[in-house]
Amino acid sequence: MFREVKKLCKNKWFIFSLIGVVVLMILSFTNLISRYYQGIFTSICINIILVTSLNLLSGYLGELTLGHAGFMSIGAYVGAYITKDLFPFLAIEISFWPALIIGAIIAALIGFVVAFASLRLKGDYLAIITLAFGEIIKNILTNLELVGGAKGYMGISRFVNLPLALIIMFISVFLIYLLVNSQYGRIIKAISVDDLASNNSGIDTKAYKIKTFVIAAFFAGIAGVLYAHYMGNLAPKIFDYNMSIEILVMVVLGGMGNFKGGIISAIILTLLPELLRGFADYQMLVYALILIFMMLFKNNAKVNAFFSELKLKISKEKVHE
Amino acid sequence: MNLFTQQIVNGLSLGAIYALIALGYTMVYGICKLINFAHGDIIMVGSYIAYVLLANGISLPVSIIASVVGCVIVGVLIEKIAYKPLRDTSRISLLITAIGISYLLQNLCQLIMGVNPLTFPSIINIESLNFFGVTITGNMLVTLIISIILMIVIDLLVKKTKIGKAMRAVSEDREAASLMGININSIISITFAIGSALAAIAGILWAANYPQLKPTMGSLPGIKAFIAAVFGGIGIVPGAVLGGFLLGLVETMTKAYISTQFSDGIVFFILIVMLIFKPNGILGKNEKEKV
Amino acid sequence: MNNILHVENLGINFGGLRAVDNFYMDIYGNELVGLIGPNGAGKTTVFNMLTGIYAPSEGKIELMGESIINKKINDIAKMGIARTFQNIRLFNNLSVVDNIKVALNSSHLYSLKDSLFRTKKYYQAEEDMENEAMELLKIMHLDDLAYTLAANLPYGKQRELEIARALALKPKLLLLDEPAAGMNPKETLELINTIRYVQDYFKVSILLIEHDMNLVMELCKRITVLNYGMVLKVGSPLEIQNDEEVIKAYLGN
Repeated sequence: MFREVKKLCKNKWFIFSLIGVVVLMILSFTNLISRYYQGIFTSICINIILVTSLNLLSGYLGELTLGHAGFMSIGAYVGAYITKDLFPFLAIEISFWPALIIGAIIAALIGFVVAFASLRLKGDYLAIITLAFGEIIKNILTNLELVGGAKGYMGISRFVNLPLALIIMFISVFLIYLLVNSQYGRIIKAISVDDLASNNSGIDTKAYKIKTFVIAAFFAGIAGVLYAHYMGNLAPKIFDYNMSIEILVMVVLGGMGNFKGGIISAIILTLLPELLRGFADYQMLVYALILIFMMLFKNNAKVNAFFSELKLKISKEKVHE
Repeated sequence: MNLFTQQIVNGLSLGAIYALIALGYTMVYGICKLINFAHGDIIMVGSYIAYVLLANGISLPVSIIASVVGCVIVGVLIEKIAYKPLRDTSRISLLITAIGISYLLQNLCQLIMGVNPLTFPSIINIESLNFFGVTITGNMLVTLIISIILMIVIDLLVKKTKIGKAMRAVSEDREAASLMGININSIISITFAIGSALAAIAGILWAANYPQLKPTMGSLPGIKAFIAAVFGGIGIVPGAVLGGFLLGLVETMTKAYISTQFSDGIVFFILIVMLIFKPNGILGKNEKEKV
Repeated sequence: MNNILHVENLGINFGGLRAVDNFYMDIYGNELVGLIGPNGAGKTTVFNMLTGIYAPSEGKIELMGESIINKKINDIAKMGIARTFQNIRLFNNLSVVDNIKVALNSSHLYSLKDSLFRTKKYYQAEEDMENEAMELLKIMHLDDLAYTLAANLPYGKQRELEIARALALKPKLLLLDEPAAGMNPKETLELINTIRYVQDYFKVSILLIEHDMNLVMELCKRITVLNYGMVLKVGSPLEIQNDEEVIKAYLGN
């Protein structure tokens, strides 16, 4: 572990984000940033966990899924149920941690079921089956009086603050980073380009697909528990396929299977609606337009040629120096 | 028994609308391999155009035609502006763009028409028919008749006409079709035009049956129709019709006999079970990967 | 007796079509055998049955005396049958050395826990893998390209990398599906040398499908000719070259 951290310390991105996290922690402990901004940064933390975990599944492994919000909602509801109704007599400082782990584990179990059921499916069919799973989870939650049903689940302890979200986000992302940069990561990247050739290279591709679903769902569950204890109330309709799509959009914009890119795009796309608040009624409209233009821009041959030329120029100049 | 027959009629009438929407999905998918997420919102556009015209005293036939024309223009424009530049890039970029378009249409509509639900006027004033205790309302009857006529027209178009042949060629192998002198761009435009026209009609029929208009009204029927298309085997025209009717029946039957609250969940569950056993849909062929 | 592969009465149906019928073959230790035949004769189908991609309708396939019928593709690969593909199938998004490491998976196992906690076992296994992969690349003369993206290799090198990846599995039997396809004469010559070298160095038996008759006649000790899914002839290159039935199958009547 120590060797890995030492290696990471040479990485300017790692240092940069570490400084960012520490600065934010100090700022929020000293109350130098307002509650409003603390809230936004907490949302960013939750979204980073969601994007990084979905990146594992849709980016690295290349399986298009539209049910990530479903896994998240499992974590959120299970976690909230544990702290609010199962152990109401325990102080939240104590009950939160088992809630965090159990919520994530139950989400991972559901991930296992979804993976197992959809092993034979690929591409759009996989996308639609994960969407269906997400909607079923939502449908069940809507009718589960135990957790408030359609009215929503109220009165959850708002235990999560920015420093806590930062720490949990940092650990989650670090763990996923370690996984991606290991034989496991190599193998899922290989499976994403050629399932059969991986299989013929002695890899149990099905087992890896299931593993990846489970891991991704686990971290979505973590994000869910955080979300529940940050918001203080939950409603099933928040976790619909639109939310899954929003997470997928962040992954795609960051670049499928691009670790840094996913994190950056999670930050930008969480900030964007806030920045667009000034547009009031036009907020979502502008968001939609930006989304479309970003995709058009990203895939434009001229734009790409311009950027690769720019890169080449910069690297040449570096050589001259 | 009467209740059961009644539910079948209800299910068929709901399924007919799903089938119309699913046809648009499946045709576009067949040609572009794109899940056109904005397709559901074309339904919304269609019903809103009809609503505005009818509310201003314009006659029903003119309103319908205008709504169809409006949707065709919107559909074709979307393809030209947003999808065409991305045609040869990754399919996921295309999918995300489609989602962006869907948001765009919903929010434009919300800006122009407001968030509050509007009530669609009743446009079909035909007496209900009664057969041995089974009621067929005028809405149902018209929905069924129009949908079935349109399905036959589409089937004939795809099977018998030159355009249909070109469409099938493009969906089979775009490059080869282009080498054979087929104008890919115009075939894709025509496909979007047909899909949007069907969506406009579906939108008006939907509004006639469920007269509440909202900017997001298209998304759930859209998703369900897409599921219907997958059910039948996506990219296959008869599959969309079969899938649409089946979905309508399953949904109505679930609501009548099992549970109203869980009906959506059960529909999705049946979809999952079916896909596990028949991964390419009911009419889809199992393709083996070439090695 | 060092019978590496024993195939008997192998057959497969696709729908109503009989793609391969009563196929038989024996390969002994460190032997180089060719499988030839006109297009559509069922050569690749045989490969796909040998590697578990298709389940044969009937027949026996034994590797070192152990049946591989109904075994999973990855298990067969681990048992010792490795292959390359007609249309090169590399992991284009990975570097050359990582392509090898993916295939080293079976011999250097460490768990997800090891990667999460970066245990000693993780570092040991990663180091071993790096050394072994580099050694293999050195043997295949790919070591100076180790950190290039596989997609950026020239065509001939991609073929060699695919062979190297198959060798990383330490196979007892290596299946090469048209290794010379798309190569110019110079590249083919290099390929002949590589294949010979591989056979010699790794003491592996090789079965290859090829249309380039020069290569086949040059390399193979024994050749099986397949026509319409059935074995037409088994023999030495000389016997095959002069067999009238074989000539007829290739040239038609």
